[in-house]
Amino acid sequence: MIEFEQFRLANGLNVVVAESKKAPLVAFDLLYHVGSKNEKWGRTGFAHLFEHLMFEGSVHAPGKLFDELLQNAGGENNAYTTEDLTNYYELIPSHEVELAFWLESDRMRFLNIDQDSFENQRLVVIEERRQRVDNQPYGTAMERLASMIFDKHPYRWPVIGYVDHLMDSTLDDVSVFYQKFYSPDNATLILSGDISLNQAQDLSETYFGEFKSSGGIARDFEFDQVLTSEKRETVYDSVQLPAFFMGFPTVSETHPDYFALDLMADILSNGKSSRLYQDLVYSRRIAQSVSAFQEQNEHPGIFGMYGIARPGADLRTLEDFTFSHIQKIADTGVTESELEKVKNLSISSVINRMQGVANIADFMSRYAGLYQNPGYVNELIQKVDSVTSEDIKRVANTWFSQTNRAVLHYLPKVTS
Amino acid sequence: MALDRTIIPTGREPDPFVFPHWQEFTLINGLTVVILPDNRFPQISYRLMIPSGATRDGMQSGLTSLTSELLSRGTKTKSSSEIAELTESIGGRLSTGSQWDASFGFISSLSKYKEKSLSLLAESVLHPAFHESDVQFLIDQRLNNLLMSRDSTSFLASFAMGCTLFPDHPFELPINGTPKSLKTFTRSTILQHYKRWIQPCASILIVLGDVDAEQIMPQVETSFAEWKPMPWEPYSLPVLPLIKKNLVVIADKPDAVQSSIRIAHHGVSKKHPDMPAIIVMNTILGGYFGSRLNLNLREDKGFTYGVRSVFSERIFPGYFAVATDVRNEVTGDAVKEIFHEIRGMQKELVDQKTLINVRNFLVGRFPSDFETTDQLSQALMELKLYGFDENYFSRLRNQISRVTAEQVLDAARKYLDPDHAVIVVGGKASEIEPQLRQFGDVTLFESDQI
Repeated sequence: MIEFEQFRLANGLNVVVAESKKAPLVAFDLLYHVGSKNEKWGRTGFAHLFEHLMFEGSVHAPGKLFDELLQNAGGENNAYTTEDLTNYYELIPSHEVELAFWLESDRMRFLNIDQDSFENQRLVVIEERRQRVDNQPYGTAMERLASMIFDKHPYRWPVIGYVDHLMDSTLDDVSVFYQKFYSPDNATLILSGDISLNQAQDLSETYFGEFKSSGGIARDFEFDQVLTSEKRETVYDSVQLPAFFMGFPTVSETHPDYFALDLMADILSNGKSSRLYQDLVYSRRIAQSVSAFQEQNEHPGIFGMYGIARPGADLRTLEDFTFSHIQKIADTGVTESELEKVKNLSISSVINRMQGVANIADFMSRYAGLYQNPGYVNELIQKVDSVTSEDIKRVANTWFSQTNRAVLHYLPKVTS
Repeated sequence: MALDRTIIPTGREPDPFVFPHWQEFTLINGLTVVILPDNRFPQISYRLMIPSGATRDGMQSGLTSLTSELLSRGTKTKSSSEIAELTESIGGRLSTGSQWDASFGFISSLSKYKEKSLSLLAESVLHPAFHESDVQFLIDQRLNNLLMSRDSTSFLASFAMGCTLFPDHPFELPINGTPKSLKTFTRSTILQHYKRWIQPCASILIVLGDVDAEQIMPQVETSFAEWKPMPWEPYSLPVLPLIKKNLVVIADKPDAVQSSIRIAHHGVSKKHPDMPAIIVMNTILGGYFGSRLNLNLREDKGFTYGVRSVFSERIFPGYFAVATDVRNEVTGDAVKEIFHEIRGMQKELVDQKTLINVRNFLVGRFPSDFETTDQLSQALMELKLYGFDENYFSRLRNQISRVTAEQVLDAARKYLDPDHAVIVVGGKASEIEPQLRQFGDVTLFESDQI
């Protein structure tokens, strides 16, 4: 259990405080409810690029002062962007916590970016894309799969964005995006560690209290229907072993079926005793690795599976065998002991995320920032525990059909 | 009244750092048991450290790590699948493997299963089966992983770096072995290696979690009682071959869109007495976001997503390396800037502002490495493996806080060696070779090991 308090400033900033005196540290997470799904086509990757720009200086902490002051205070800081959110965080000795309030409040309202730093960070982001996506074996698989599954919804493009869109973006886009999404009522502050509620209230009011609310942000999204026929593509790439990637549009993390789908993915591939590992990697030895996962998203995401074929194994056979494990669960369900096992694994991973002030703040931030419900972290174990074997059989029958899926094959490029 | 935002808040002095107290016992066979109760979470972990690591592979690259990985793949009475099933049923993770200086067995589980997890770990380490089919399975898995890695420029660069920096030395080839070495191992090679090197003498079991010594010691003693001690065979490493002048090596990947650069030379032991100054010096050079290398290559030039410098942490001196991935067309410029920063560290004293900034950064972030049960168990292992006493971490933190600009300069002059370095690049040779000629004779990496 994580004990916490929550309050809201008049301008809408939501503040969560999970006090703990175990270590002289405070984790300070400031989450903005904006991610790549708030981008428009033509400017993909912008939310993440913007995250980089937030480190490039504000009016009272210009240039590199943000990093310098935090490092000088013994603090670490970073940020990440997903489809749904952008989270900026500091881990700072508790005796220096006021500095984090000063710096984060300054860049919430007084960001100051010039053309040079904009262009520099755009280059950095393009190198990040090359390093993580373009120069990695199978690196483009997940973004290709998403673009096959989603036609309208912005989950169809990757958080890192496309290079030509990044190159088309301008400094004007920066100020429009900033005005639209970076306001106290679109943010949640999570404080975990050696800080009291009183201290948190005083500092929040002092540093963020004078900012104006945006008055509300329009959020209109187009959603896709289920696929009516299978989509299939083959990519010839710089890889040694053939691989398949398969995706099914399923549910958001708040859908009642989410936990059953997540546990089903665990039964299929979490650990060496899982069904796919035991059958395809260990017994038949046709796969080098296999995986199944349910994405965790605010809007309906993907249930994905992939398999990398061992040398000599037939990719289509591997794909069919993998899919047959879903059909088997749909037909005959899962055993009680299997379900107990994945519940224990899932509970262990929840406990791991509750260790250390930085993990606690990160764990709560998503639920606090997207749903105003930080206490959700304390309900997770019960939600996992209440999934029945019937639930898993039911979701296997509901969400997986051969027409509601996209399949991608990666084959070694023929070299001359 | 509006807040005056031009005033930067100032903090107080940092709190002292104290490593939590643990208890220690030694069994008759020499196994040391370290117990650190931590009842914040309903979890327990056992970490067994055997001080024989991949350094002892000699020229049989991968043998130690393969042997220890196989420990979690089945015992005399339980198959590989049964071990996996039993471990995962209790919300547990069992892993075994090796680093350069030691081999490990680790299991964690929910604390209500503390007896079960302990006996699974003990059985795996004391009674491994090394079934022929599991041996072959793991060798094949590794061969295929190596095959896939050939498409990764960073793997190619790291592989070529080992070969160039450590020819005919145990550090030459990767811990996990090579296609050539792995194919020579059989069940009997592995069994022999196991009998020779996996033993209780000088090994350490670290128990951490929701448990106390009185509860768990009787079972620890029973579980490990039959593990037979042997005298350790002394061993030493060959002298490192001198790199007479800088070498440039390209591991070619014709369709690469980025170059993985490694600029490296021989390093120092983790136990080196100058370590506090080395840590501060390396942090300034390339050890954190505000480092000279990162501010230059990333924040100023936009060449890369990130660049780091590191001294490898091993008992025997390993390497110092700068590592980064940059786009093809700026590969030569990036190498030039890296050398510029390394030489810069050796030329003049760092300014006080940077020095204080880095010392504060290292001292302030120190407690965050000792928060979770996993971090504490890792830290205990580090103390035991390198023979550090219980005050090591608090002493190190104090020493770091007092490192002077003169000590930083001295460390840079003694332990950075830009004239006896290797410049290894994984990338598109046809495009980057002309850019790299200025740094020395370029050779194309070739090895019968990959």
